[in-house]
Amino acid sequence: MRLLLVKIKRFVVLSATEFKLSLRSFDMVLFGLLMPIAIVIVIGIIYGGKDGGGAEMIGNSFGAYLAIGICAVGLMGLPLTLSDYRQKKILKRLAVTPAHPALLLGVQLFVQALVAIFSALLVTATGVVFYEYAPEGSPVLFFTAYLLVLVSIFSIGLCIASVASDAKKAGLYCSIAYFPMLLLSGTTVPFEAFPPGVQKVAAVLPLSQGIMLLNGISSGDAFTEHIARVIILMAIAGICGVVSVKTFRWDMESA
Amino acid sequence: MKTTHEPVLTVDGLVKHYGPLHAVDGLTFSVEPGEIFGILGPNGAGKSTSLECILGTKSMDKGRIRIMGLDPVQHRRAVFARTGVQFQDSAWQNGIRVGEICAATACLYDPEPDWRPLLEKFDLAKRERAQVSTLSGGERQKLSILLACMHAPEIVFLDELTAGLDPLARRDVWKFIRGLSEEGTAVVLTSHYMDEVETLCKRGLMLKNGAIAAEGSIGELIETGKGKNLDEAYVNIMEASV
Repeated sequence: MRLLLVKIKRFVVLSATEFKLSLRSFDMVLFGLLMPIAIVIVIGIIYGGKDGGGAEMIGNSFGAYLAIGICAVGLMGLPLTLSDYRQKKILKRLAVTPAHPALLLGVQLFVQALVAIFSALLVTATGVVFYEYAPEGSPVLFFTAYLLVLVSIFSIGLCIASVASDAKKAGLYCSIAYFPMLLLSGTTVPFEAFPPGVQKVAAVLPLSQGIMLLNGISSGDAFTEHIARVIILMAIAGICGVVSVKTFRWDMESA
Repeated sequence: MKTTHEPVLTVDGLVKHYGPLHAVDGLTFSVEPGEIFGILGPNGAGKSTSLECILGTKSMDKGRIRIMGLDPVQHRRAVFARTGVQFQDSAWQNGIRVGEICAATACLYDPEPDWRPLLEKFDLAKRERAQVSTLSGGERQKLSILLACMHAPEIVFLDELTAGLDPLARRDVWKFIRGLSEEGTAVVLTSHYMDEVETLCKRGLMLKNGAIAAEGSIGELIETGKGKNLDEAYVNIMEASV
């Protein structure tokens, strides 16, 4: 019991510190929090708010706006922070303390997930307050789907952090994962606007699957209608999760 | 009554290659509880590499390391619960404050150490709210020693402990290290300042091109180098042809 309390306190102290640090670096605030809100506002203005098609437009792509936050955090913030900590030998300093790697990864996952969830709440509030967007479907089911997409995208980010040999490569891999997914998955340009050929390619991307799931659930679909997507996302999370734990290193040159 | 101490650190036949280069070539020594042991040598002699192989943060090619009887790679968490380390190249999270790094480090240990008295002792208490990046080189050095020692470890490894310190701060750090030793903590330090080693250490070894060029008590080191003091002996040993 005492040991459990010690562990919880450790997790809370480290998470609070990392959370403060992530707010102190403006990148995360800009890309994770402000950008998704800006997109919702722009779409709302273009399509004319509640009297025009604004609410409907936001409703059609609601999952996509949330995904922007998930991607900024999971494919940029998370892997870049970890590889930066490795490059700067911050992880090496932790390697000579009793800290367990799972504690450090867990803290990063938790803190970055909080940023993504905060972004999702702001996006939802913006849509609801300014454009009278009314989500359908069960909120519990939607949150479950959201967490699944989050875990799946985050696992890709963790994998990048583990596999990249230095911070520069990590930055490159992050861009390779982030920008195509962001452009092609319907986050910025609606998925339906692409020609059929591009749609076919884009549909393969994990983020597209996630967004289709979120859009489906938020317009009242049941989980069972998207079972293939759920399985794909879970498989990605499983595979990438195992790879990142197996290849975890404290230092670049420890091999 | 005589008590026999198990050595708190034993290094047995440590070898580390970088390709054909022998960075460390057959290092063997042991350190007793409460002893201050110096590893001396010029830059590039293999001091830091030896330290990192001992700690397990670098892999070694041959050798057997025991810290408090445990293999530091296999029993990493148990070993480092009671071992402190200050690396030469300490780095910090961007934007982190002194108090935050202290709290985040302290929470890793059980029982959680109280770091505030140490902050006072190192004259850093007024800098608790300052970002680490705004500290002077000397203050940062003191902070990294503090972080290595806050959990009252049984053995501390300090790599170039007074690099960047002014003479007064240096003397404070020496006093602190002696205090640790009197409380029974073993200290392994690397240095190329002979006055520091002569003041602090009872025993040590000199590394040259990764191999031991001299070892023993400070008196024995001076004798081996045929010098009037450690400084002269060191120069003689390092300049002697192999």
